[in-house]
Amino acid sequence: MLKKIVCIFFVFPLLLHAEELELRSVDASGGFEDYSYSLQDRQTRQRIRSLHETQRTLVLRGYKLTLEEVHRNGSLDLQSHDDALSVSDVYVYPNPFRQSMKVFIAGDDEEYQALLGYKLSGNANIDMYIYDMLGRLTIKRRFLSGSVGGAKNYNLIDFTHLLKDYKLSTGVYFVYLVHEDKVVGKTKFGVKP
Amino acid sequence: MTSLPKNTQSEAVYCGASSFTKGPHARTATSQAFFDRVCAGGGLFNLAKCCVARGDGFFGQCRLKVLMFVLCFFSFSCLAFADMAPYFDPSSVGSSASMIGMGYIQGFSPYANSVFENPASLYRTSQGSASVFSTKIMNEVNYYNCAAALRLKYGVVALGYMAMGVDDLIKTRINNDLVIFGDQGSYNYRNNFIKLGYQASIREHLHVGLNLNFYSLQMDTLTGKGSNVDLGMVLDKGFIETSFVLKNVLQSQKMVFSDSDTLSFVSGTNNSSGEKELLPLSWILSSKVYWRAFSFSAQFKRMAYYGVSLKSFGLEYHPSYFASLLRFSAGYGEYHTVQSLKNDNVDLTHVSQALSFGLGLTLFNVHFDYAFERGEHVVKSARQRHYFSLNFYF
Repeated sequence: MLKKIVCIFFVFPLLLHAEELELRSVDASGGFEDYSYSLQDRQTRQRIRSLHETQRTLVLRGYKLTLEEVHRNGSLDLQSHDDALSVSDVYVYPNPFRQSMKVFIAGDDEEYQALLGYKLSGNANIDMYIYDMLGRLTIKRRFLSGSVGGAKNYNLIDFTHLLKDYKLSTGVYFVYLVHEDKVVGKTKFGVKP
Repeated sequence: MTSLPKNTQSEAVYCGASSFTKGPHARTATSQAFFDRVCAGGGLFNLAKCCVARGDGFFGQCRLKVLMFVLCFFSFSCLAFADMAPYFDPSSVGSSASMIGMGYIQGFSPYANSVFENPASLYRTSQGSASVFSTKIMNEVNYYNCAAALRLKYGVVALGYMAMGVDDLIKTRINNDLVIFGDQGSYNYRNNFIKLGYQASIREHLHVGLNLNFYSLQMDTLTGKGSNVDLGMVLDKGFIETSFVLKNVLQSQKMVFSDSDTLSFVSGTNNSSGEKELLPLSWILSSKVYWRAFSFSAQFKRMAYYGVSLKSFGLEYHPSYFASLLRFSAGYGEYHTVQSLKNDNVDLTHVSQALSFGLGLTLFNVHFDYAFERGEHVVKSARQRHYFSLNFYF
């Protein structure tokens, strides 16, 4: 009877709040060597030092995880229901830019109107929304995972194709990068006549 | 002028030329023939020449029909100007929480902020009033306006100031590996405009108004200036009011930019000196009907450059016990989006909708308004917008 009460009051809430964390190795060796993390369940702390080389995925349920040290060398891709894709260095060049201008960059054969650059932590589908100063949606584009705009590392989007058919009013525009309905990056840029 | 009887004095105010007067029947017959000739021969310029040659003031013999002609002329001249981008008009945000709560219906504000909507509606100013309005859009764009109106012997004059700003836009550079860095400092965006308004009453129920608009813009090294004129009229028949306004009627007037940007490339520079933008002509027709404790409003708005009319509908309720204190409103409004969401197809006629709700409270000559609007946005916190405005009157 006592065990049942313990189960109802302690175990069942844990199951309700179960979170899932998935660790996936993407480095060349494919292993999880030399990393550590803490496992926090109430005040109990458990520490695991190593995993089998061939075990590429670890899924833990019923615990809240805090990652202390991911790896020593190489790259390790961390994905969970709570961890969003990270996007950094979201900038537009030039800022502000003139719509009728073409940017010709030394060492490159292409001409651009303006460029949007950002860095992704992994391949992902990215939706780009551009709003004007009234919060009106002006442009929406989808970049597929692995292609330009949705590829891991640095992505460079050419505004030439994006703006080729019409002119924007002079002003400020807001770029939102969205992955799975979450805003993962944003920036703002000025447009000149 | 002050010694004139009331009616005569009013005539002088309305017409601007009290010396040229005739009997009402002769006036009607003459103006009809005159108007017919103008319509047959065509042209606003000819009409003006005829009026000058005959010694008429603008609101002289054929003032009503001339006014109708002018309004019709501009109504049908809303053509597309696709070769030039339209200037971003900050007044699109709205002039007060009250009008936003009614679905962006313009022309029925009794306060000074009506100078932003329809200068003719300034006729509701008793002696004077002042208005302030502020909001923040997407947690990025600061917007505010203020206005003051004063009734003088010759009509109502008003001054309105509207400002919109965005701070901390990051200046960037690019290296040879085509990586962009945001380490070049920042700049701000400022968009201001001033409206000088004047209202006069042609008849007891018919009111006209005129605005002089002065636009200015600053963004990094770019500055822009422009000016234009609004014309408006309001017909107030007690249970029904109709407002019609033409904004930016002088289509020869453009927003002109100057720039000191020195950034240059092989195939051009980033300097926009001499570039122009269209101050788009728009007309707004709105009507309001009063029934018991309710009022219903409808509005049609059309803007050159965009190909479709925007519709708005509003409902207002004054609880009978608090009729002079409390007011609830709800509205449905449409607005343009710049481009459709279909792949690469450009569609300047795409229209989105927004619902809004409002609450107004009047205490001791102070009127407070709150409006809530739910729109479309990818950021949840930006979908719900809150507006506050404050009006003083005496």
